[in-house]
Amino acid sequence: MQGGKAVRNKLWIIALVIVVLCTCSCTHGQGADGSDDTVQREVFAMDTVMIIRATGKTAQTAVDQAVAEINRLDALLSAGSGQSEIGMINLNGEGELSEDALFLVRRSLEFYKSTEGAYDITVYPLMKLWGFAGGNAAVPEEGRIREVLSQCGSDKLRLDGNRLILGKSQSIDLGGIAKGYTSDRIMKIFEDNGVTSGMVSLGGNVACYRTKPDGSLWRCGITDPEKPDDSTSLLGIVSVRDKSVITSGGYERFFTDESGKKYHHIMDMKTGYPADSGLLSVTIISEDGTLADGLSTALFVMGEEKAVDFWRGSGYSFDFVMLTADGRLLVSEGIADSFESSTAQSLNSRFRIVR
Amino acid sequence: MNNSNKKKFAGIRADIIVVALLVLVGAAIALGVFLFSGKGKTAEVRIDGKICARYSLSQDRSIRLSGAGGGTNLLVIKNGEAYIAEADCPDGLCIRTGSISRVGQSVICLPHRIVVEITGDAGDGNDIDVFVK
Amino acid sequence: MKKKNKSQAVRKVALFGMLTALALILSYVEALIPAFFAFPGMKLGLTNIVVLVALYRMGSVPALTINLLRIVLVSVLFGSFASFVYSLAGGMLSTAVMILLRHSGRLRLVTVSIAGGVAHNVGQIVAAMIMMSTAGIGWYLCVLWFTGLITGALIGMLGGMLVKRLPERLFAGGKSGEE
Repeated sequence: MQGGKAVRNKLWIIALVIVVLCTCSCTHGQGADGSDDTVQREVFAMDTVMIIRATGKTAQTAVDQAVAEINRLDALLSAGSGQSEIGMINLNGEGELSEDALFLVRRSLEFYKSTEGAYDITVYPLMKLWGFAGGNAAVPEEGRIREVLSQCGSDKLRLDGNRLILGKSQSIDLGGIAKGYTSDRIMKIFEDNGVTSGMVSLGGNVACYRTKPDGSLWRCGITDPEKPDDSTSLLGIVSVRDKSVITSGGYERFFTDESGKKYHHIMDMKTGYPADSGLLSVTIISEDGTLADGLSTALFVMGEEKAVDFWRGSGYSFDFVMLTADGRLLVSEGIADSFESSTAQSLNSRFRIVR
Repeated sequence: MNNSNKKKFAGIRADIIVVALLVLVGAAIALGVFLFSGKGKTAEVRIDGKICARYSLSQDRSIRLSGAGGGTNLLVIKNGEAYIAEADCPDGLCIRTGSISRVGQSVICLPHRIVVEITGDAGDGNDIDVFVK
Repeated sequence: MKKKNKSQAVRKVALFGMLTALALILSYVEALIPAFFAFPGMKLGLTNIVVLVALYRMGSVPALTINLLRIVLVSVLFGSFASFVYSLAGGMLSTAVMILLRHSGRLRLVTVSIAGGVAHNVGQIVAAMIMMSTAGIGWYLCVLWFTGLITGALIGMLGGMLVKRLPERLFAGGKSGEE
């Protein structure tokens, strides 16, 4: 027994010594040498990686301003947070919109009309029901879906000056165009600061300012929806300058039910279920980032035929790259020359140009 | 126990075989890795398992990476090599790893969940600037 | 089978505790001298001395138990979840390999330790490949394979001396039935 006690005493001393030693830690560091005038920041925020790159004498200022702008707009537009402007309106059913939010609501209503409801910011209650806005993702009851769906619809929103009034039980989410708009704002910051070359990726939503520092086009690799984490498997590469390149696909956020069926986060407001239009991914290339962001979602919901008709007849200026579920890659005429099809295994043929 | 004492020679022979085998397999792996990896062209950065950027090794620059938990590492690309020059992780192993330039080599910062890996060009000279997701 | 009386049970608990604490201390000592090593996971494997002593003087189950306890405690005290997974994968694989090789009865302790050192590093690398979803750490595998060989040999020599010289009375009551 005495031996056991002695050991226990020793153990205590040992534990103490370990805890004391544990608190000492050392850090390392040595001088940096940033030799050229390209500045890049990668910010791990909002569950995604944000990359901001700028070249020029004022690059550092521009990048700092861009980071501040990202944080400002996120705080303003986040649908879930009770602190944000949009969060407050969702809570109170109405409220005043500031300049940025007013612009985004106006554009959202415009897209709602032009896409015949394929883009709809009143989707938020449906997202919550499916668990895509925090909480547990699960397939809701049919009755609940129909109930929530009956209250949705941007036609029930009223905009009175800068005052937005929601319909009964409605709430809105500007997330469908917020990143596109943010990248537009950053392009403006680049321009105002006299940046000579720049690029941002907001969690994979890309916008390019002018060309690369060496004068060549920015090469943007489009993710293969079948292998979203494999950088060697790509749908293709688009080379652009002064363009936003934004993709929507069911692979970004989804959950799987017991039977193994996948449910993704892009809702079809006609059914209340994840859009099942026969498209796996839609990439929009446009000078207008807000447009590209909104349309990538809308065209994904529409499906191949309607999307192509929309591209031909809408009057908007944009190009697309679409992958269908049966493995065809469709590329619109305007971007075809600067598109290279790539190594994706899900492709069973080369791409087809849509005119 | 007795058994191995009696047949001492047989015992040592088994030992020699096992150690030789281990050395040979190790050498085979080393040879394989060396043969398959020429000088890389790009440094691929993954944070938390997600690829977030690729940088050409032909262009010198330094990039501040923000990893999981808010920690930062300074990635420097110089003369076709990549290394971590500064980091606020507790172990600093990523700095000590030194410069990497061959395909498949990587610098890993476990605390920040950052991996910088050297890759070749994706078959046909695809040097991609940014990934659209 | 030996008769198990109370004092033997106490001795056994004390012995386990002492060896686990020793392994823990060695883990910490090792954490203090990383400056020599350039890669994550590159280590001397000092704790393997304790595992070897447990394996050769007490049996397989105590060796496994003490190593498992050590890994859990180290992770709780100064590790993260990731480091826990790495050392668990490495520690369990190497202990398993050493138990198997020891029971083959044809190998010397040093060889068992060498194989254990290599297995430890392979286990870590495989866990890292899965955790980091990257296959491109073949370089680490190479480097760690050979450091495992060398450190395994060093530790095997040290451990061999201890296994031979530690007095028998220390382990009375701590042996599992198989010995």
